[in-house]
Amino acid sequence: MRKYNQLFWISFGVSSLVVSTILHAIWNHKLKNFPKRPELINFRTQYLGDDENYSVTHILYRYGLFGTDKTINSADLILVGTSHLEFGICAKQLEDTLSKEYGRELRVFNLGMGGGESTDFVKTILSSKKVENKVIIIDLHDPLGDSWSYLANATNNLNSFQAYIKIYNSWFDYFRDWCFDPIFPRFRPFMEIKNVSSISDINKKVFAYRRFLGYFSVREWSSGDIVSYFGPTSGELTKIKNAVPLSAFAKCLDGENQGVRVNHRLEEFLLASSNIVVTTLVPWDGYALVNKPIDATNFIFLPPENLWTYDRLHLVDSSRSLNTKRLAAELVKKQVLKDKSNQK
Amino acid sequence: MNFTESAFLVFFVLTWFVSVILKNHPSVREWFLVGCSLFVIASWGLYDCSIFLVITGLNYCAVKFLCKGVPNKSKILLSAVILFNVLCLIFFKYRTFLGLNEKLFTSNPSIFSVGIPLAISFYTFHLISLMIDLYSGRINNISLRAYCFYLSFFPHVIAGPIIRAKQLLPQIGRVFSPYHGLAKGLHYFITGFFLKVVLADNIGIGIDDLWNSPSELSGGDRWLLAFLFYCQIYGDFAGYSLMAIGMARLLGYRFPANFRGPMAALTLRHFWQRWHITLSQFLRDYLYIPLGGNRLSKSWALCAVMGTMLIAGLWHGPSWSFVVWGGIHGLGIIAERIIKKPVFRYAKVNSLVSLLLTQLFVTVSWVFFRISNVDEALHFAKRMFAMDFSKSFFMKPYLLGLLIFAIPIIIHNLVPFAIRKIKRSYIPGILGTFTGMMLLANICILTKKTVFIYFKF
Repeated sequence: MRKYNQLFWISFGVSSLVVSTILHAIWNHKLKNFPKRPELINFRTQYLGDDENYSVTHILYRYGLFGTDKTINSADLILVGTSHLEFGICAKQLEDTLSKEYGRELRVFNLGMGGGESTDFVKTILSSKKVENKVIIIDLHDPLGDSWSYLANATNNLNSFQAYIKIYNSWFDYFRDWCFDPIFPRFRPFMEIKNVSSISDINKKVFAYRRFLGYFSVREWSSGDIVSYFGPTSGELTKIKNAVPLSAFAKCLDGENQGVRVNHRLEEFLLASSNIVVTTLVPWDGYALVNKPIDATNFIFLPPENLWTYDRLHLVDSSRSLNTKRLAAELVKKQVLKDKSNQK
Repeated sequence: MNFTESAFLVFFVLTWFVSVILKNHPSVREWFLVGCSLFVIASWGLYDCSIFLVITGLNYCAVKFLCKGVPNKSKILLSAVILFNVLCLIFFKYRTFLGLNEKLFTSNPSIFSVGIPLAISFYTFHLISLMIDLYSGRINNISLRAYCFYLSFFPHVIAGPIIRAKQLLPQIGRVFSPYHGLAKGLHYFITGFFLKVVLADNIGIGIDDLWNSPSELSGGDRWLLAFLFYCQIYGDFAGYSLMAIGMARLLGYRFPANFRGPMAALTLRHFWQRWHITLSQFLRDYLYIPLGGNRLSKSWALCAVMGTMLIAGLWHGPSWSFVVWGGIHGLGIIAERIIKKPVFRYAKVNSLVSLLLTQLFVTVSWVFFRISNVDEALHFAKRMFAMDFSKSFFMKPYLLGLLIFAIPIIIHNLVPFAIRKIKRSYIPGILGTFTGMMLLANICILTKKTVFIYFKF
């Protein structure tokens, strides 16, 4: 038995090493064409928000795990909306500006969620938390209306125990991908196999490869802000130099130019708990073509001038800062937080 | 938790390390493994875990009584417990199929619209096996720890292999020697992972959608599709079984093999001796033989074969297509028993023809397993034989591309026969080399994670 084991381990080690060396040699040559691998996420202050398989953000917010419930409950101002708001407003910057303005510490939390998430799902999240006497800023971009995204539906089917497992799955996957990214290529036959149009094509499609790291976003525990959004071929998407200026009148996608509406059920729910509701619309390509609802409460107009986007839908970091500055100025002008102090 | 997910792999590594730490304390280690098993079951849903705990808890009372062994009362109790377990299975799994919802909950049939509890088919069989083994004296006594461990041990609880009590119970309470099963355990686990994630999942992603719109497929495509499904389900289930066997081996327990090259079977009888072996043996020992088996008349034996195969089909799920699938296999086995004589003069030609006919038969039968509507399955199967020569033989070239994933599965089926011809001293070296290569393939080949097909049975 001992000899059996020895022979097994020696051949196992040798074959692993040989195959690893060959794969690494191939990959080392190709890796130069890809952007640099980002630093490992510091999980003490940040977390992996979304990747290609999961939306940790949806799960965290829905079940209030890892203290998210506490953070949301303690916020004075909550930002609600889709990825437009997630990338379009910086909670930390807004918090600093408003705290300075009012001379007291204010907490702002970014509850924006990807997948074009419906504000109806946000209502489900907020109903499980103590959302009273707060200012809620709602981005009116709501393409799904009353139906939830597939991410929300998948999230809602879990219990808290399963939610933890999903989150750990996502984080372990990220850690594996981060470790193997500079060492091996990743073959992805399933992504290409259906594009095989002739037998001679099979070889090219089945052995198509990519890097280990895929798209993922990193968010901050304390504010919910997006810290980085990484793309495997373009690197940090919100920091890229080839961003384009936002064009308010250029039609972007058919669906994106509709879907602006007021979710009255969410508003009623929030107002019933003594919250102050403010609505806005974070600009994107072609947003001037949409019909803004006339019944929007406390609507704050955010101008599209000098804003830049990386994908015609979401703002880059510098524009997010400018957009947040404009929102803060409008909030101060409208004296929304003063009203809140009076309510208290 | 799915066995191929990162969270499970981390969980398993941690479980293994704690097991190593507790190696000299079998009792503590096995209670720890019971806890881990309940954790795995609960990760699929608290409902599934609760049903499992209630059913196994109630059965434990019967176990204690059977252990006392009062002959007359034991027989009645055994019958009652088996009946109870079968009724539980019928209620939870076949309620809607038998129209019981409408009969039991006349005012509101959807009142009990809960799903089928995870693994109920498997642990019901484990319970039946345990009760019969206790009654027949093959097992004399069973402690609470052994009982909990036998039923809940996570490598086998969800989708088998169906382990007999007499196979696992003697291994409980032994001191764990981690290095002893490490090489083989790792080999089985990595091979199983490779079969499932790299091969079966990639085939599945290529063919799953085609089953929903088969009208676009030519006769050639249909044959290829059915064959690829044969490879997919083999990769999926044999992969799962190997992972289970590997995990058990790594934790110090031996499970019986569940597959032994079914694609090389020359007859349907051989096929069932090599496909889901533990289920076949369970049905043979606890159904076919008690029904009379070969001891009574020839015609009765054929009826017993048919009955066993129909139940084997129905066991897979509450659908007529599974019954038809079992029935087709039953008819095939009966036909084999009637036509015993070889057709050709040369044994090799006979074997080759027999192999081809058997495998074609099995391939066609998978259509009924895969398509849940019997009419649609029949239509699909008919079109396999009605060749339309005005169309191209293969309308979907990418199906041929999927053969890249099917070929290793065919090779894996030949391994049990090839290994006999290799010098014994070469075997560890060859296994180690392939394990290393498969490990790298498992790391580097990306697939969408899918749940094991047999988890829903």
